[in-house]
Amino acid sequence: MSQSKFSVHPESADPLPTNRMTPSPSTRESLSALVDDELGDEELAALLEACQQDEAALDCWNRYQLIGEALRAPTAVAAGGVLGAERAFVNRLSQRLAQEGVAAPLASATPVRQPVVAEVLQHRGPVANDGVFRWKLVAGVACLAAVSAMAWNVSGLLGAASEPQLAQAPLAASVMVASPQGVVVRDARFEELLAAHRQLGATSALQEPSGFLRNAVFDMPQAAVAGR
Amino acid sequence: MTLTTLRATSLALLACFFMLRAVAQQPVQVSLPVPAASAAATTTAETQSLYGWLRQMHAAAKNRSYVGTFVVSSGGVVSRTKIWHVCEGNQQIERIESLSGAPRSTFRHNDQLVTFLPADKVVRSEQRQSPGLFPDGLESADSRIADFYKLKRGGTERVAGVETDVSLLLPRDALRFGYRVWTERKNGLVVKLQTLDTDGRVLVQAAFSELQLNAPIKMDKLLLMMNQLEGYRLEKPVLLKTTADAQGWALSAPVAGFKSVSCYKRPASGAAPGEEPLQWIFSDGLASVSIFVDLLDPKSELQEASFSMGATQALTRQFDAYRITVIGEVPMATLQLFANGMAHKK
Repeated sequence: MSQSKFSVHPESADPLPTNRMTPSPSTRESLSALVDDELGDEELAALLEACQQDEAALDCWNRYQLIGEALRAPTAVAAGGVLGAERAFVNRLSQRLAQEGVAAPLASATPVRQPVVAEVLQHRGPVANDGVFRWKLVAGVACLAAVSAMAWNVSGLLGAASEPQLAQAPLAASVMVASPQGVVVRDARFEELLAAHRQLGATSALQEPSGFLRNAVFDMPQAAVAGR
Repeated sequence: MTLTTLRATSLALLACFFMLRAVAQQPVQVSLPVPAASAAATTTAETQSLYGWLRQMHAAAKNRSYVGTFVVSSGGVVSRTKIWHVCEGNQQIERIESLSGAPRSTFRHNDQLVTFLPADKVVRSEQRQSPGLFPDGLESADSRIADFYKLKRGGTERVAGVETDVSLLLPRDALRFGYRVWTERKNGLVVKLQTLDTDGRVLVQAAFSELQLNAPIKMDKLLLMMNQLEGYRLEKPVLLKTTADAQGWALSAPVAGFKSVSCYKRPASGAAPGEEPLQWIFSDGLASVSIFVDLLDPKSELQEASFSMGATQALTRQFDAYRITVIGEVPMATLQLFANGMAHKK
């Protein structure tokens, strides 16, 4: 994975305790890259080697595949229909989340500040928080957290078909967003800058003739964050 | 024993899967030329071809009325919007309604932008700051675009029931992304747009899933809706036009192809007068970059971080007592050039 596409936050370099459910961060990154077809031959060999040693890796791989399948089916969503496969995915995912106890904090009806973030931070230990500008790349968070963040997005994406406990997720001040680079914590402050960039920075010869392009493309993050 | 067998099988499957994908899915490689920006290689014919193409696109957007559903996928997230676009004389109005995510409707009447956020009962009214692409018009922008991008004509394709021409805008260096554009054959209206990374992979795709050209919509109806502000709290963000120079900032090393477009101060909550966050905007004609500068809370410690979603990249770094955040639809390496080039004169 090239530097331009992936950047590791200094904090995320903290090794997570490896247990049965979570393979090592590097294995997870490689698995994620493999799902996205971004893994070179040598890296693949190293990954397969690592998988031999790591029982949790396959579990993680399966989940990444499920997530990838659902997210890579834009045409189904575009056509206005939710395919059975996607519905099945959400069902399986929510079962999985229920088993792993992630659904509970997500389903909390009372709006709590940063519920999802708190969930992640538990996995990461204490974090230096700059207090004002809290968006951080936490590429190394547990698989589990990645799945819950994906679920958040997927619930917005699938609308009515999503499971109730996912759909009721409260809107927090900071929200995790799954990106191909890992899980990112974004807050109101970063959203503001992003919106400002999109409003004034959209000086493109391609977007200029079609204001809708600019608006539609630039409304994306809000749509993702507000997936409720 | 069973477990071992199972694991071996799964591993074999995993390997098979990868190999199959490797064979079946050779990524559609658009060979992008590496660094060496050869502006000199731009021929007059190329420039004119690019110019004509852009001109047609601009004209189409100004002259066509249509209704359509627009689908954008970026960073694994899909959003849908419905668009009404009406042109009457030299007046344009547009209504954009989000169909997924938070409800939101945006109206644009010429330079006036009004955004309704029903969930918060807030309506935001903004005057578009940049009257056009560049102060000196499309011509100058175009010649610059031709210096850093190459236009390649693709084939034809049907998108949303419309016959389109496919064109590729390939960057001449690694500092920007490429674009694949589908334009309606007759008039050049943009029907589909992809942003491609330096390996030719699609980062963002925006396309009509349905499109009705020359739809019979009346401008006054949309105008009426746009001015229906009852029950909403009106917000008018204030922007103060300034220059980076006046604020004591400069870019010590220019980034090839990118020119300063504008610079604003944006009063934000908690910012003392005179210390409002600064937004300095650059564009190469197709891609844009915003540099934000604000004072760092002396008690806090800034974590340098970067973020990427679809074509949008962002990174933040500390510069003395300031926080510099760079956001743009360009490769991360380009943002780094901007972030590292910032110099404070005071």
